[in-house]
Amino acid sequence: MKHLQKCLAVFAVAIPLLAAGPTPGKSDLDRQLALLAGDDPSAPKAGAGKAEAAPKSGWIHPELKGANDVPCAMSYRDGINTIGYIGPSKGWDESYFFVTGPSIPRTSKTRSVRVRLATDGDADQTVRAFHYMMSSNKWAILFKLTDFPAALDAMEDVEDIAIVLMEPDDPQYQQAIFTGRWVGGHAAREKLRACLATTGQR
Amino acid sequence: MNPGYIGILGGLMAAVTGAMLLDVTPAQAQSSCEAAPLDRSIINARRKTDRFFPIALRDGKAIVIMAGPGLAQRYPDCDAMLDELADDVTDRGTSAAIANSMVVEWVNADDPGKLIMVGNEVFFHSFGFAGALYSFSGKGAYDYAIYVLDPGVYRLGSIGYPFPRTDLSTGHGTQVARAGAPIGEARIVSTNRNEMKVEQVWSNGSSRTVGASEQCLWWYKGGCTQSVYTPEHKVMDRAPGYYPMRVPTPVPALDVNLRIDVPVASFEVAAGEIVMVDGIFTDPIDSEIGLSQCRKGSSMHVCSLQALGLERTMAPIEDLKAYDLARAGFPQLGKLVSNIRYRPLTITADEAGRGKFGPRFRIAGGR
Repeated sequence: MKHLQKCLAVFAVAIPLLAAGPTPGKSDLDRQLALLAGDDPSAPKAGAGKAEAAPKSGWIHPELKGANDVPCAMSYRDGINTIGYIGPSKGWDESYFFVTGPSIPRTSKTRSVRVRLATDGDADQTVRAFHYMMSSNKWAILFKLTDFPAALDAMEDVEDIAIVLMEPDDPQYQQAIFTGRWVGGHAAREKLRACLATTGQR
Repeated sequence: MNPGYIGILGGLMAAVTGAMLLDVTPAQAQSSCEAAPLDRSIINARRKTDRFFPIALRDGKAIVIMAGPGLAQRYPDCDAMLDELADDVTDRGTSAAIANSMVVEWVNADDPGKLIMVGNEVFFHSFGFAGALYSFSGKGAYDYAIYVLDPGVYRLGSIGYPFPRTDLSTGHGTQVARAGAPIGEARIVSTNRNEMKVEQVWSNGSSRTVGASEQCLWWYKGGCTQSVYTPEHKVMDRAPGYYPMRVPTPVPALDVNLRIDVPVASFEVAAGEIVMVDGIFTDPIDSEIGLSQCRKGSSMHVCSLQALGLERTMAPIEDLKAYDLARAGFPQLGKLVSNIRYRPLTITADEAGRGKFGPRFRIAGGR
């Protein structure tokens, strides 16, 4: 993830859109997040349709063979934590890096927060992110990416990450609110790149 | 899947809160040394949870009650523990903060996505079935936490804990230069931790408004012939001044996670079984970190884990059976526990003496 930070957007302008209730973009994002975190009851089961059967852990690519208007995405299940990438698609040009798990603090509404992104091989970067309410009992930290292919280029095959909250008024100021790890990142991103190619994104 | 099971699952997530899931020990470390009295809403919520246990067993799940070291036994001076959660770190490399926040993960051998997390702060309402549905302190030196899980073999996967008053430059555990075959990895993240300090804090005082009233002083033949009227006024409950208060103070700390990649300890549980299993914990000083095999970022180090010391909490099953689960709001679980069986851990590590709660073990990588 050496250069992932460079791909992260400053996106205060986008907050009203996400926080303003159901919009087509928000619905897409909600569904993607739920699917990638294994929470979507409508998610295709093994052998049904064109989607891959979700593995028990490790990388999943739920929409690799999906319809053209569905973003290419992938996530890594690390125990009860999930780390993932959501790419652009036709008609939806946003892309995100996200983490979710029970250590993410609760929030009653989506908010913009400053967080420190730490990895096991790079200098820390402090950036803005969404503290995002996925459901009534699940929250995520969502980083908007300005250059999705570049973010994939920066992935390490094995990578540990930590997210530290940097909001001075928050009780968890400077505390790690997420730690996680993936392995097999390079093979996973090749599948995602192939998906992006089919949608004309790269 | 049993339809009743599904309905209760949905209700559980909505009904259960942290206060309903724990009995004494975790609350001791967070708010008060005294157990809070059970009000009717807590009892009612526990009864809802209680209905779930027999249904889960019939649906092919298993119930595991895992013993852990009792916090009150390790730190008998409760008030001192609350005020000095981290004070022993600098002297002895251990603290109540570490013990209270330690999380031990047991991972299903066939499906790593299925796991239970054993710790004083890990409950169902936040962590789903990875968390405990209820925990309580026994009469002896042990705490017990109750999990509903899928049948299978569960292996010790990782141990995580905070390490207060330390930073990355100081490091963690016993640092060794050799680079043998590791038994796993240690991920160490620089962070902050709030410690509670008692300080003299200025208060502007507090007052309350008492409404106007009239009191009869002399009743004469059914009528009040003399009364006194008191107008609305303020009463000062607390005068302005300095008062001792617990103040959260951010202090540098490390978040430590020890991932264990080799077989060390495991247990097996079958569908429909209810078993008691010994727990495992570690003291931070018992881990050996290989400094020559590290990936270092500016606030995260991931280094090889060369060796690890563990202690097994061998709780007597009679202590568990003696706890009155029915009185705590779990009558059906109480009946199930009357037939509970002890399931010994399978340990594949060298025994290394005896600790306060049971035998100690040591696992080390190749040299």
